[in-house]
Amino acid sequence: MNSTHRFLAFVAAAAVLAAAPASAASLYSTAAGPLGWDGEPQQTEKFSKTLPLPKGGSLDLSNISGDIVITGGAGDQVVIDAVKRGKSTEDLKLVQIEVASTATRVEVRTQYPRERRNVNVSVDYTVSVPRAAGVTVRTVSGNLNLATIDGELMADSVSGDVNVKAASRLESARSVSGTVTVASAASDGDISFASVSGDVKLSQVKARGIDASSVSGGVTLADVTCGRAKAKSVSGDIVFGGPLAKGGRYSLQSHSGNVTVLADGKTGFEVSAGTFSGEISSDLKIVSAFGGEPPADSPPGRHRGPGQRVRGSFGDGGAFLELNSFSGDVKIVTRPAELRK
Amino acid sequence: MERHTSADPACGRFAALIHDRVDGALDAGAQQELDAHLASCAACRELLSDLDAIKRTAVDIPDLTPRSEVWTSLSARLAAEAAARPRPFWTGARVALAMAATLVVAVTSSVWLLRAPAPAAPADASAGAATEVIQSGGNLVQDVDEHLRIADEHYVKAIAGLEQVVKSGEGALDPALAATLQKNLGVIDQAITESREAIKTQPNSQLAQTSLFEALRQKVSLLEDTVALINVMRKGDQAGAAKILGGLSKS
Amino acid sequence: MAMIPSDRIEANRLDRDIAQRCRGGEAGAFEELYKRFGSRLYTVAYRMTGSAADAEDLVQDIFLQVYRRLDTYRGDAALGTWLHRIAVNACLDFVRSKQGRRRRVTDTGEDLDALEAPAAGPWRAGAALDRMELERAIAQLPPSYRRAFLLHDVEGLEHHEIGETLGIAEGTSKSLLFKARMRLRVLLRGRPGER
Repeated sequence: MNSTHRFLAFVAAAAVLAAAPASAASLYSTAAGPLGWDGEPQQTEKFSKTLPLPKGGSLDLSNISGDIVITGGAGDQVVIDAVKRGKSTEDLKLVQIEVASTATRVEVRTQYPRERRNVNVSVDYTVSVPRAAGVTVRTVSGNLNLATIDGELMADSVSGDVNVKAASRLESARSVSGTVTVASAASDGDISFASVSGDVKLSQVKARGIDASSVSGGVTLADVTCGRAKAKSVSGDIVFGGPLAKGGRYSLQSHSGNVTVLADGKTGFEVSAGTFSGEISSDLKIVSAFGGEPPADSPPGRHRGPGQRVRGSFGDGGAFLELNSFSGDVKIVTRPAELRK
Repeated sequence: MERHTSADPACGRFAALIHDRVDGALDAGAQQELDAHLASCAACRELLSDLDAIKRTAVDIPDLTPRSEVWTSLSARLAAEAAARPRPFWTGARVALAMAATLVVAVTSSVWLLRAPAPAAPADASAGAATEVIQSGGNLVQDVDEHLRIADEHYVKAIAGLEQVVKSGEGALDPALAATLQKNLGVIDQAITESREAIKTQPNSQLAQTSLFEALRQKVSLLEDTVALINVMRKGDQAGAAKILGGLSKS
Repeated sequence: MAMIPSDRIEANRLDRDIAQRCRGGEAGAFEELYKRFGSRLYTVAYRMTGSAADAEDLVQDIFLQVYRRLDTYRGDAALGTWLHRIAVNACLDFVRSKQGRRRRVTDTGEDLDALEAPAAGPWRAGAALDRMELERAIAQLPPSYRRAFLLHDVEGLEHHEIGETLGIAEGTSKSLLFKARMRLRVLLRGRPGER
């Protein structure tokens, strides 16, 4: 066919691709987009790809810079939409979105060139996956927003927030300098939540075991149901609320933050509480396990002094609470209002 | 044409070159020399051809199969190793630190045993093994102090080493991230300082001791993760950086 | 056998895939790794130590090391190559140890004894060399020749590494290798001068 013919065929093909939502094709289109944060015009490039992912399959997405939204829904396809943003089209071309797939897994990687370091390009992803798909997602600098995912989920960011909603097989949600917020999640096994400088906030989480930690952020486990919990921070406060399992072990610890347990007063527990220079107080009557400081019975109230330790039980002593702070206070409260400072 | 066999002393010198040629270890000059000889010596050409064939065929020699007991034993050892680890990524340094940590856990739980008749279940599985170590050592109280002192030294040493690495490599990290990590290391340092002060004023306070070691452990943990992140960022392996996240921020 | 680029990319991807699954603690991933590479690494250990018992212990130590160091595998080298290197180093450590030193060779090569070789060997002129014939011939080599040959031509070790393994000088390793090859040739082709 002659060159004009070929050109027209190409244009026609491009038009067809541009019009229809791509099923097995990928689509790039570059545009001079809105101004970036520094007032310089930004180049953007869109990317789209749709791939089948049968039952039991999983998505593995690795990004460097950019936000990621992944939502589980109906269907058996992974639909990937991404927007590259950068200073110049040359920069945009240096960053590749690689998608690989096997029968059971779709892998998406944002590849930056090894040689050139300061490629200032970010890629924001919006992905929809089959609800039952497993998801492993990581980014270095960017927020993660994950919702309605019923497959095994692991989410990590370094400098961004991690938000998870409605995940029924959550394994971990972690950040370094961002907050980790999880609402309505579950696992048959253990879930691990962590941040370094951000808060960790959980609500309505059900699991066999929960590990939640931060260094300077607070850790709040509101309405969590688990047989084992370990929550720690160095300077942040720890708050724990939720039904206590008989024989469950709950270990809450901070160095300079307060440790507060919201107890319903219906389930019994054994408690070992200690603070070096803070106060220990309890709305519930703790019967001391043995003599020593403070007096034999620890009536509800406040106890003050260095090397404070309370060892005793409330009710039938089914669960075990280990509550420690170095310079913060340890409180067992019965009213949620107490949780608000 | 006169035939030489490669047992012929005249070819002896070239025999060595032929072996080197088979191994690809000849420089250009020796190569030329050998080629010149091969052009007129059928025996040496045959030798080269034979040795090439022997080496090529040797590569395909099949492997030996280990007995199935090997896997049985290995899988048991792997399971034990995995159970003892709190996290999947352990560098060599951490193994040594695990010893310190195990000592501390065992010590603090045995301190409990000294002071509280109520049962104190060990915080994790590794305490069990280490408790044996402690109990076999004679006078329990003396051992406790000694072990704490040793554990403290281990940690301080590890921290110093790691801090060096972090210092020299910090440039590889995004400045905001580096600042966040430093700030949090500072928060932990504060906790360490306060705990040490407390131990000075109340040497018998188990809480102060636990506080100290918890803070030391967290410092090591954060430093190691920072080092891991630096290493990965430095090599420009940015995708690898994302993978490091599996271990990062888990104290 | 040179791999065509798409083969290599695929092999690379499989390598990284299994490494990642092992790191992730996926049940059965490590067993898969062992199934794939266990014999290879056991054989390396066997050839370097000359002892089946030592090789059995070593191959386990090697896999434990692999387990601990998997996070350092980044996928730019082939997984087999990376594992082989770990195995070789582990075996070298072993042979350097007191226990391993028992396994070094005591003979450093006899002179070629033409009388022991067949008049005409199984490898006929113009025919390809049969691998099984080669194996039989290797089995007939004196231990020092055999080990030097296997370690160099099959395992790809350097002469200084073979020297360490066998407790000999680098030059001696080279000499043993050359003698081994010449002897193999005689065993396969038949006595020189009779061909």
